[in-house]
Amino acid sequence: MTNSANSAISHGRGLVSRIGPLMSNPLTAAGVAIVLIMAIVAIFAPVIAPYDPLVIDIRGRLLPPSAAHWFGTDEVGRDVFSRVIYGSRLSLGVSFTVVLIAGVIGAMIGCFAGFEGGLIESVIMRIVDIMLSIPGLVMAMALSAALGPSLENALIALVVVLVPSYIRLARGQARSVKGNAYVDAARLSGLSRWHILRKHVAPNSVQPVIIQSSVDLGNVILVAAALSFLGLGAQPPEPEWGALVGTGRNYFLDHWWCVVFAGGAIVLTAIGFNLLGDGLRDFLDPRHSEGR
Amino acid sequence: MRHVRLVAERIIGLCLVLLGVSAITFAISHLIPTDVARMIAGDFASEEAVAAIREELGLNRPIWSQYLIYLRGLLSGDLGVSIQTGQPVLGDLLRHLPATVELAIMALLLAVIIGVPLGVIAAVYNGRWPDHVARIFSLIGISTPSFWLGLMLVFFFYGVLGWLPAGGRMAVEHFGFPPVTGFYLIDSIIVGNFSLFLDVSLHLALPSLSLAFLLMGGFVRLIRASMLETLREDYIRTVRAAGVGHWRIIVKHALPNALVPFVTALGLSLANLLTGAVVIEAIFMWPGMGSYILDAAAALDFPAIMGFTVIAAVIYVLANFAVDLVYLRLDPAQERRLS
Repeated sequence: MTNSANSAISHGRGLVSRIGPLMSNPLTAAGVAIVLIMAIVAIFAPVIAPYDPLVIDIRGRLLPPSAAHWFGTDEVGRDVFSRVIYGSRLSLGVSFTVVLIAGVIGAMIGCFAGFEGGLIESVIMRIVDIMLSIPGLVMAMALSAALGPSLENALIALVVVLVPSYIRLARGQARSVKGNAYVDAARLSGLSRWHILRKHVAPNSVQPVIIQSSVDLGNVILVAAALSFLGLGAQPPEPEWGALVGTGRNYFLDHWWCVVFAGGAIVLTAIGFNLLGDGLRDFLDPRHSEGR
Repeated sequence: MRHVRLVAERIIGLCLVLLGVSAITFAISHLIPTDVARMIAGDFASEEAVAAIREELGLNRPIWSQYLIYLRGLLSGDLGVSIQTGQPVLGDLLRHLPATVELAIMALLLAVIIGVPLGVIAAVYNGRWPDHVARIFSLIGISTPSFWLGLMLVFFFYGVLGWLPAGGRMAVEHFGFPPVTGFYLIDSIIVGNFSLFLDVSLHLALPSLSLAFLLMGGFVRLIRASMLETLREDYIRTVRAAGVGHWRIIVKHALPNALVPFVTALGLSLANLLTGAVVIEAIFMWPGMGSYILDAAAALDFPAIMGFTVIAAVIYVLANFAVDLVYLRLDPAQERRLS
């Protein structure tokens, strides 16, 4: 027990002392900076946004970018800049929520499956195989259509789509952790299976899930935006970025500002998450290093 | 043929997976809070009419019996009847299939033609500027939502430059030409209509490029990583010591081996192609399965949505099965990975 506790502590200490090298990679640092800026924008949206994102001004509709409206106005005269600023709350919120929930659920089920083994594991893994054989966006579309199109239901659909891959990762790791001497030692010292799973196997099995979820943050932003764009996620007038592009699409040939800025925000955020995810992966799992 | 056993086991596993997929789509379609019978009958139908439809669809039966009926239908290729079109879903999907496949194949070709050389160049010039350019390109590729990229391309090539059409599969003046295979590029060659061929190609350009971009970023990364690994191998050093030219080593000796993991990526990218096509078709008014399924989703046409989900899973599973077979040929040492 102390053995793994010690290793967990030293692991934690190592993590802190290695944050420096992580940030020394300029690309990763750029990713961190982008994500931080986006997070600040999301938190302080009411302070930053000059207008209420939902207030309609029909007389000022489809105005090009100007000093009063940096990103112009949309088809009912709402300030696009304010809407993009507020949109960061929805997009970042969805991405973090989905990855967090899916990661926790996936890690728990995966650890349990890998640790228990036998019939339970086979059944769980067969189900995972089946879920993974349906392309993600198709599954998400079917689910959000079935549950009724809304941002909350898109969120549930995305969690369902992500969980199986995390289960697979955690289960693989738990299986190999289970074979370690300290787990045998814990078992021989009479600790309960539940205790061993919780204190020894689980903490050492979550790393692949953490790595993958950091990479997935960027993907989830894109898929969530795509669902909203298609009308299966956030519903107008919610200022979700994908939904902004989806509505702006009807006007964009003559009013480019309706789609350019919201889409640019998606690209920028996704780049930030992808850089951060790659950096974290190389840092936590040097085997995947791309030979820098 | 020591692989026969392995392949047979895989086929059994495949059938189990597809059985599971049918259970999932069935479960999802019974999640819906909407009364399907009421939807088909319409808002003004009498209670008796709704009850009759419910009876006809078997919605009164116990749930397991409904599933068995659904499963029996699936096995005989019956995906149900679309609420929207009133036609069998399978027929609807098959009619829309050629447009999607034509788009997907063009996109895949573009992604390979651009992505593979870029990945190779990035690996060969590892750490120098061509590498940086290729990596920035791939980063933007994996970070750009395809629906936005599609709109931007339309804005520039249609709105600003006026070079390419904004959507559809062909210009209005070609409407009414009788499709032979449904693949318009092939059809226009069969009927020997060159202006149609050109028109169809122009209409394909933007959608296939948008869809290709979705895959390209991933391809560049994969090829680059795999090339870097291969270039470090001993046999490459041996060939180099034997005095073989630089690019000859790369193209003849390193690339074929670096492409092996790429085969798996191709199978997996099929899922991206399928789902990416849904989004791209929506933007370019492309009359394929994606447009069909989006209309279905908007109208809550569940037989159509679930039929598409099943078909997508079947295509995906079969493609990955085929990839595994190819893999086995390319690299017999991987046999254990598959079993």
